[in-house]
Amino acid sequence: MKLVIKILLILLILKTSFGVIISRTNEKDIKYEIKILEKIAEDITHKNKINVYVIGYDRKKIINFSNHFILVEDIQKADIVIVDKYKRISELKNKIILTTDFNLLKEIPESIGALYWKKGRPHIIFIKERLKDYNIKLSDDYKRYIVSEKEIYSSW
Amino acid sequence: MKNKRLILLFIFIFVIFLNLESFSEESISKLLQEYEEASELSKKTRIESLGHVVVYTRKDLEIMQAYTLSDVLRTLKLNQNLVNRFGIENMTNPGVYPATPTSFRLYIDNQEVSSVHTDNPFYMFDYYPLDHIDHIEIYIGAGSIRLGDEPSLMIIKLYTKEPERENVFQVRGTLTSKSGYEMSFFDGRKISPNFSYIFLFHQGFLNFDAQKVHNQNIFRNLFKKYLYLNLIYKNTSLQFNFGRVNRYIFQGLSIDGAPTDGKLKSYDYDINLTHYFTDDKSFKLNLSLNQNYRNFREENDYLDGGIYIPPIYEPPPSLNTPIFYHEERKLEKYNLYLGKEFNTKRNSLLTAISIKQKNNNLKQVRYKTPVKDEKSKNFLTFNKETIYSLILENQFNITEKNLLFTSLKIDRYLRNGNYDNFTDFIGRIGFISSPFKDWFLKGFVTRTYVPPSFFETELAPNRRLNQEILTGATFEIINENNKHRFSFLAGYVNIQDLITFTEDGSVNLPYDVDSFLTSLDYEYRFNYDSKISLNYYKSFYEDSYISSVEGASIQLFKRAEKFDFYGGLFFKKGFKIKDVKIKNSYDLIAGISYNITKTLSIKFKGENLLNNSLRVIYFTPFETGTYDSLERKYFFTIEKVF
Repeated sequence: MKLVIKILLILLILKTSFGVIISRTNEKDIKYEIKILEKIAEDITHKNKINVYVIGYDRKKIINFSNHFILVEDIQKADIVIVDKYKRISELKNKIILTTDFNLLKEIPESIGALYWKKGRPHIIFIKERLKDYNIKLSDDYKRYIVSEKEIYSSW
Repeated sequence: MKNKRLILLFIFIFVIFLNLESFSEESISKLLQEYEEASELSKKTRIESLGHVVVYTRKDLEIMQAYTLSDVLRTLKLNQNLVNRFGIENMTNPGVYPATPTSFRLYIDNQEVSSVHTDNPFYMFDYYPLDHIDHIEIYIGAGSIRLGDEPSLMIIKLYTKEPERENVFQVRGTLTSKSGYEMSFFDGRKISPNFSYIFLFHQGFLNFDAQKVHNQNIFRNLFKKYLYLNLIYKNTSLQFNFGRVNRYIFQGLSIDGAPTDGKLKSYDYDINLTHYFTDDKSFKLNLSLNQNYRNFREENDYLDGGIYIPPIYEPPPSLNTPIFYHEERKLEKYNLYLGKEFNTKRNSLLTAISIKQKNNNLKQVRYKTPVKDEKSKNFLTFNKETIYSLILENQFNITEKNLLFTSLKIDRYLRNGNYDNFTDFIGRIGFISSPFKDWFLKGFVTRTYVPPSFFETELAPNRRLNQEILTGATFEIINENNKHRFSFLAGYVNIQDLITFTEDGSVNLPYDVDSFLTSLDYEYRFNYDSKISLNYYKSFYEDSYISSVEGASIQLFKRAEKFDFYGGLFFKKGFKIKDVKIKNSYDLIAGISYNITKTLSIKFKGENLLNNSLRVIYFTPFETGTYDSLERKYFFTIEKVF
């Protein structure tokens, strides 16, 4: 009996590369998407567990892949708000907002930055003036991604 | 002298290559890079059961400055991209003549685009633009059945870009040193959570040097126009693909290989509907219709032997030698595919049916001899074919690291015009095994067939051809990790009833042909943005060689923050046939792109820089000669994103 359990355990552990060979759904990209959002949120809030409120963003991604985000139902409790779809909510005022769509940066003046796709590649962008408004200081790592408000209207 | 120049050029490229370090390794940048890498669509679309795969990722295509399908196929191992007698760039298996091969299938997403008449995709698509294409997968090996179309030895799959990752309007303009141009307008975006689209308009004129055949100049210049639109709503996509290609016919069907005049004009449209009944995409319906209008006109002098039109041709001295030929065709293809996958933890079973109807309507034929001006319609009574297919493919995990494929496709051909109906099948057994970490073995044993195309049947002396029967096996050993990929591929194929073009038209060879191939690949990644890849291949082909059978290549890819570099050297070994010696060829391609701003870039590319490309041999009653398959050309491109 012990042997059977042992074999079963080994089989379970071995479930590695083979899944990759035949699997046609690859979720590695979602893991990285969440990882990046977490990293940004951590660097902004300096917290390890971050309360996050989402608007239009797929909650399943956070539930399945996040280690540091805690989904909250009340926007007031949120450290960070992730917005994928435009919705005018008065409570957005004074909240730190990250978007996953470049155009939302223009539509939501409270948003400080975005993780978005353009021309087949993922991009990160932060707006200098808005970071200042929220008194957020990002490390030098982020320097290359920080642009002035004007630039989001002239280029991407 | 030539070698010295070559070595210097390579050293130059290498110095550039090594001097530019990839951008920083800070954590957020690194994460972003890893995200980009993990998100590559080519990682999601690969179908291992289709064969031995070669992938050109989006990044590869961008760095290579691959603007047309030809730019990609030219770099593919084990094959040559050679110009055939109609001026069409065709994939050509090692050792064989660059004719109009019937065993290559080309897919633009779900749509297979081979011509109904020739079973060959290249006459409309050899210079197909890639501005809307994300990545390309090429499956080498006989007998893939999964997709339900005519049997193949190679499948080329073009995957269009994913709209939600684009969000751009992009314009590209390219000028070539041969006074050619190309322009593309691309748009792709997500309009709402459920609706997105991809759009491309492309137009171009390609100019090639005239070739001297039988003391006359022959041309293969072409004008092309394509429109592509894909509308995606939830699990349904509706794809439109329009194409117009007008080209000079190069050698055409003229006996001396040098027509006095001749044009091939084609207009093609596809409409394709794909619907997935379930979110996991396991239950798929595909409906497509394709119509192609083709207008072929050729003139040749009587003393030059006239034009080879099999049912009526008589060589001079005869009053029945055609000296003018004009035909109009309407080719139609309707296809229905319904497939369902049944997945359990250890097993995946695909069951599918497909029905395809092909019509080859010769609308008008007119030919002139020195004494007659005739109209005819009935060169071939067989012009309609319906194919019913049943597809079964099973993937079974014997253990966690051993996967077994078994495939069976049964095709029933119904043909009109007193032609026999027939049933044939493709059977295949394959496996993938990973005996040790990073090591993979992959092999297939296949029995398949290739049916004669309408074109081949029309050119057959008694209008009857048997299907080719192929039996073969391929085996690949792969060692792959984050840094490198090594692979060794070997294959053997025996072909019965090989259809080949002779002086008497197309015939089934009365003897079997065996061929054996080997290919060795090595790729080393310095980091995510730079890699080097090497290939050597050799094919052993029993018949006398009419094209190269051995080749090697080295390619360098490098992306820096503002620059992209590409260098590729492709060697094809020469050969000798009768008294003609075809020299070794060295096709050197180099490209550099500079991103002036985030939205504007300029690019330079040169191909066949050593002016030393493989020549194609031709035989006519007047002479045996060669012509260039590729010429030295420079490209200047501007790309703007809005």
